[in-house]
Amino acid sequence: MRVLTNQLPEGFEDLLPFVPQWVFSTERERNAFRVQQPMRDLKAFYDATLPRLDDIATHLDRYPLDAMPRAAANLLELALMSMEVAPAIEYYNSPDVPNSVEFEKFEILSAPLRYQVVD
Amino acid sequence: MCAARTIDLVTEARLNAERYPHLGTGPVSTQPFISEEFLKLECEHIFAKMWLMVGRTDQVPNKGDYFTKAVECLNKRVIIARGKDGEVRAFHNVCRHRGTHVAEGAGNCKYFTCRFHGWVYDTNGDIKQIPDESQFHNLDKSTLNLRQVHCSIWKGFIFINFAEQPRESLTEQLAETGEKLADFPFESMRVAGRWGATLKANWKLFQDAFQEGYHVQTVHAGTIGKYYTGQRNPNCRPYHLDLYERNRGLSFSFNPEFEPHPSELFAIRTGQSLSQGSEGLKQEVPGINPDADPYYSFDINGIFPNWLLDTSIGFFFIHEFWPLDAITTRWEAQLYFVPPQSASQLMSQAQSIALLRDAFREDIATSEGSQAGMLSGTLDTIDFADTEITCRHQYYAVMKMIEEALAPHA
Repeated sequence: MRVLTNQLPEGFEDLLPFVPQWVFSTERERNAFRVQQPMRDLKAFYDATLPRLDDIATHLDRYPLDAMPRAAANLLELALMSMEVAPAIEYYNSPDVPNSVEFEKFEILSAPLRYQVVD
Repeated sequence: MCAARTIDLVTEARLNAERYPHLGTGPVSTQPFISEEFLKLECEHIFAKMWLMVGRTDQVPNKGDYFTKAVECLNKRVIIARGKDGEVRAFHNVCRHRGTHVAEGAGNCKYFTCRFHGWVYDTNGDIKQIPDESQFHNLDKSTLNLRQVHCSIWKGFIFINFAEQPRESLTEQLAETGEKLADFPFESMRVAGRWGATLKANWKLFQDAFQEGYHVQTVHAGTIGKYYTGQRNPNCRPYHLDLYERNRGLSFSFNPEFEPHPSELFAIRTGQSLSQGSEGLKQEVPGINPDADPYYSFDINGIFPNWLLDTSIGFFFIHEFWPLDAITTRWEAQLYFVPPQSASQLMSQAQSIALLRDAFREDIATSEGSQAGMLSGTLDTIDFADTEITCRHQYYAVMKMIEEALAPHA
């Protein structure tokens, strides 16, 4: 069972306010969280994370995907959440997609994670 | 095979009907979208006879790996297993004793064991053990292996066929589409996103939502509409289209005036984005972009009866449409990417996963509404535009197979 910690790698202290609340390991959890947040919180998260994506990518690419340290995995999952939140800000200005099939009728099925955490 | 030809994306000429006059241009009846009797005909003469795509070999990479699949409209339950000899087979998921299923879900095992009386089969389907066997009368164990279903593999896609003797081989069924995609690098890609829904909509109506571009400027106004529509192509017409006997292919370009958003620019910098077009992705990929359009985005390959295989550069996605009854369909979609080699590539792919999924949420929103309208009896017929000829083609292919099956033999 995954235990959340509030760690992030050194240099990313500015993102600590989003940990662990915005950190999830699956697309299903990220999407369910996104659609429940008010737009101002999504916007705050987007504004905080988008300008940091290049730094995050540079930092995380030092680790092999099959052996991510816990703090790096938290940072990766924050970045994945940033990509989940992005269309809500950039495209439809709404937590969930307007004029779409009801959230409850749509299933996000499990897909294999492409990284592994080493503690 | 019809010669490829570029379509003028704003012409008022109805070019597709000229190329395919046998499909007609008139309205089509709504009955095949609402009638249980018609679905029975489709099941008997199409689903029970055609090769049906049920999964990929990468779902069963190792000996003993298996997954199960239900084909509800035929009352069939199957197991797809990689046997202890390494071969992929399909079996009826039916114990030879009293019919109970012997496997559930997916996993890896050495044996399938019926939970009723404990009959045991190996992963090749061979009966291995019958508890208290002496109490059976005249049991010939050599005839009690799991019943096999015809199974054939193309480019890693596993197809099954419930006919006693399939009317044609899988290669014959895939025909021009199989040849077109013979060298597409499916094997290099792995699943990155999987989605599903069970909705009140006929399977053809549901599938039609994903095989024309006419809906894009309205349905996707909130998401990818502007990526696909603009001055060059205001109504998201396909720039290339080929209709074969039952299969079909169509190709879409993106709007050259589209300006990517910040998350898309990041995805492009670190990997690729679904909404970036082919610029910067100039790899030679065989089997796509038939007219070498510089603004190429993706192809839809409609593979009869119930499968869409959408190919592009660096990714592909698939849709399966399984009728549960005349007005209920199980839809499942999967997005495949070249597996990420780095965290930044994984981040890049997450952008496309979220956007494509949300566009699918829009796509399937219209199906239940269409179905309700048809069920209301208000419309006896519907019209397909020339740019929706793929929907007409599917309808035609269904009707033709049923008519041929019902025609008195000379």
